[in-house]
Amino acid sequence: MGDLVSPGSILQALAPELFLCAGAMALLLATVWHRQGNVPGSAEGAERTGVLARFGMVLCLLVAVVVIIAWGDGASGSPDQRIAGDGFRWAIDLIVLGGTALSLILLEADHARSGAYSPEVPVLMLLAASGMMVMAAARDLMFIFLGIELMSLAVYVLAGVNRRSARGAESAVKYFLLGAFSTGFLLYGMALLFGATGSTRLVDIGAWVTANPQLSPMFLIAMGLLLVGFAFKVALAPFHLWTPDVYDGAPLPVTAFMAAVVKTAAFAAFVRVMSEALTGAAAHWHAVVWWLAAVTMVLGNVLALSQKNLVRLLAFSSVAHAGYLLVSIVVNSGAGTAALVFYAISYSLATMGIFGVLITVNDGRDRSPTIDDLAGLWLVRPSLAIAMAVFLLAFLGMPLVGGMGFFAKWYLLQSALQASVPQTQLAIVLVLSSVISAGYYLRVIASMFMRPRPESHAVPSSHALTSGLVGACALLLLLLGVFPTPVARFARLAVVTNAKSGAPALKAPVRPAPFSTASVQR
Amino acid sequence: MRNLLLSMGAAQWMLPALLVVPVVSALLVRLLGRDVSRDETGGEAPSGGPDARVLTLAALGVEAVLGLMLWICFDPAVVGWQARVDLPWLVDLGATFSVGVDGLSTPMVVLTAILMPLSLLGAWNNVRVRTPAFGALVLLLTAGLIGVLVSLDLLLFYLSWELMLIPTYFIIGIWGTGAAARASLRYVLFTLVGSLLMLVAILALWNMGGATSLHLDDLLQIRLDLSTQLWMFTAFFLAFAVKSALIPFHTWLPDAQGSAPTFAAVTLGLKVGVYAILRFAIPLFPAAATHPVVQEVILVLSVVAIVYGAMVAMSQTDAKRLVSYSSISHLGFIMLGTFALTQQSVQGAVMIMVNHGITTSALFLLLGMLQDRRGTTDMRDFGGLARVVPAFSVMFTLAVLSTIGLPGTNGFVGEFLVLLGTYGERPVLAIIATTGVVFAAVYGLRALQRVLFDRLDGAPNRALADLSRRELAVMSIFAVGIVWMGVAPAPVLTRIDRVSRSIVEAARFGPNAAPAQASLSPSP
Repeated sequence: MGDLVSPGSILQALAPELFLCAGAMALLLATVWHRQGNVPGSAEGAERTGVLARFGMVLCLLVAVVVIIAWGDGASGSPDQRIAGDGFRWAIDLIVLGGTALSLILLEADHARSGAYSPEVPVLMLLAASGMMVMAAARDLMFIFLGIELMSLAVYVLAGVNRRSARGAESAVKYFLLGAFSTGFLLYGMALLFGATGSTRLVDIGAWVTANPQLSPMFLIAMGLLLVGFAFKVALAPFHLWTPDVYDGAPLPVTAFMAAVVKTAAFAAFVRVMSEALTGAAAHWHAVVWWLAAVTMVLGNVLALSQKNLVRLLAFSSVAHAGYLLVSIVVNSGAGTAALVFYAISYSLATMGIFGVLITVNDGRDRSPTIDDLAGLWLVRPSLAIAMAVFLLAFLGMPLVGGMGFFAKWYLLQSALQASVPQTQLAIVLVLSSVISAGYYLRVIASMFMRPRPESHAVPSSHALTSGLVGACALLLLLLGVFPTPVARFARLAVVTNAKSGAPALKAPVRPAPFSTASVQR
Repeated sequence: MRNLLLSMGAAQWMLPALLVVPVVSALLVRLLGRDVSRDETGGEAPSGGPDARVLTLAALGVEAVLGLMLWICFDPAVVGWQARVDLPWLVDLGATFSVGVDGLSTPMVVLTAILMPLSLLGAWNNVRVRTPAFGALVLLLTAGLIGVLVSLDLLLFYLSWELMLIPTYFIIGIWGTGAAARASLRYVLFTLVGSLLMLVAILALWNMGGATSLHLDDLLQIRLDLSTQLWMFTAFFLAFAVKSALIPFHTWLPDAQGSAPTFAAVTLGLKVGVYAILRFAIPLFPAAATHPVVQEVILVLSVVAIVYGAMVAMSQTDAKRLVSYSSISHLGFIMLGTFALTQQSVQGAVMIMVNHGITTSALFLLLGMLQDRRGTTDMRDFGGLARVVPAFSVMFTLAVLSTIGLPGTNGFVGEFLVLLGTYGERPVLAIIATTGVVFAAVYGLRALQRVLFDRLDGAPNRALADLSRRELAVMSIFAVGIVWMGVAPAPVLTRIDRVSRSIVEAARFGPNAAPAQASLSPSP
């Protein structure tokens, strides 16, 4: 066991994650400081949740500063390569932290209207965020699993956090059962992978695949199970069935969190496993992932067409977006990963903005907003409607009026066409399914702009924090839609350093890891 | 005048100004403009500031002045880009903010720039509610239209191309009549299919050039084999054919124009799609454009469009839809001239593009005026208007005669050139196309008869008010244009002359063209 690195170095490598965890724990202690009544929306509890959410935002920003410092210093991760120290990790960390901070703002905004949340909710979000950061950092199946579980357990609870809502409970139970089921797939896949290759480190698995091109059936089954597990987590068709129900039942801020941040983190782990461990076996999974991507894009968009419930509509749309993102895994290149980072940023901004609008419109009611709720929104709250239109057009990938969304698609298409085997057909599937998506995004826009406002609908009140968030997201999207270079550079930086620190890792002489020898002897 | 402008560095700022003015003023109109409609109803306190419509008109007026300057500064003797400006934009993609004009785009830019304020003024009372938003969208749409015509960088071109789309969607959907939301959705979906495929083709083309530049001049240097050219040409052509409503992609146009407010109907009548074919699709993929099968299919489609469009126009009862179908028929002429690829036919096609813009706009404006007075454009509701509204009738007759292509009006010149140019290459098609002119006379004259000369009945028709002074002024400008372009087309023709020749030569003998034998294969 001499090869094992000291716990100290692992702790050091995971410093930002631990910092976030510790902060979340401290906030958790603060929640038990006061007695908590079970009175819905009691003024005192309401205030405390808001305060905790703000502390959470500050914590996210602090950790983001730590991450930036670590990135700037060129922190190299743990010496045994179980923890990555590459740009990809830091970039995903920043997206996760930013997304979490925005979700906390949404949470506070929704809480101000409905008083539905207890003070633990912000803490759970922060814990989920630290799990996601572990996922982004992990280069070892065990760490990936640890991260996924840390994230998932928190999110299961978050889905059902509104204790007075039957829908919330249903959503949480569904999510928990299906999530646990998919985790089973994932864990079984990991176990078989370990059995086949003798290591849980992605580096070793990658080296093993290169050394043994004749893959054993066990390895193939393991790969299939892993794919299914990840497909569940990122909601690819046909493993997406839980998405609309869970998104619909969960409170709106939590849905935003799941749609944007959880998806990004799951994709980060997915990409890392596929590109670092399974690249050598690409011939075996390429066609499968290709079809998953194509089917997901088309099915997600087609199913969204008939939705009247906005959250279900967005759930199917998020399925379609997972399909778009999967293109970056199909092409399996640095450009693809950069496109993924870029897309994740654009998608997160638009998602957060949309849910900001929905929270404003829904005004704390315990049901999902429908397209009819938005009817004539332009006539009563023009700026809100315009911002919503920008977000939807960003999802659609319209240039200029949809801002950054266009360049997100551009970089994805670019990576598809620049792949070693150009994926022109997949690019065409992508754009044609985008046309389908125009059918429902524009229906929402038409409802806001081209229908009269029913008398019965109250004018949604404004809340400074939400309006600020919605406005900032829309402005950012529009500005970056004219001049996307800073984000493009950020995305490329994420991949360039990835290659730098990844290359020596792959070239280093492959020592049999302690675990592997043990297993072989056994 | 020209020297004065050039000494002011006009070449350096004209084109950027043409794009920046509408975008900036769109923001100003939205934020500062006052919504007059709310004054009248008294429902809500109006926001302060000047009338949004006046602001919009002022901005569009600046555009028109800039367009005239461009016309003055343009030197017909120079080959290549003029007033070109290159500014760095997205360094990592190799995209630049690159604009410039030549003989092909100058007439279109000038036409668009002058047409926009006239259309707004001519349809002054067509849109009365929520004018700040309308003004902002109109200005964005103008920026998109001009951007398409002046961009030399394909990314900038694509952005402008899509920028035309969304403002039009909102204008039709919000201020349109009838099933406007549906019509505008159809418009967007049709257009998106084409333009997104074009985006993939642009990316692929850019990639083949080493992913370093999106400038048209650089992309023209890339050598492409025939199969690549064929699929890229298909993607580009699809985008442009849908936008310009070539049969069989035309079904969205009558619905959209029928329910659109006058201004949007006018802009939909501008044939930027064909401009883009001449500017991008043919020069970039000449071997595909002159491929016998491709050429045959497109030429036959064009002739079908001429005849079918005219026949459907004959059976319309709604005047706006009639103009729409007549415009589909005229598009057939433009396409025929474009793909016959002789110098005369291409020149004629560009000529029709410009003149059709003038004529169709005049017709839509006149019909819009009728609609604003009567609330309908169904020809069965009218009759004998000539006695009630003489000024309107004169203008309407002139515009319809120009649609028919009467010699002496602007409609004649282009069609004549196209038929002449096509006859040398494809006599059969040219002869069939000629019947389109006859059909045009049938639907045109019948429309005149139904609206202006039949029995005058119905109190609303007797009580119609003739053109106001504002409307008369706008329509007189159109009348002057129609006659002037018909009698003295030389200034425009000389500007198109060189560029049409160079387009044809590049398509037939350029480096990317098919081997000589293939492109000159005899027609069946």
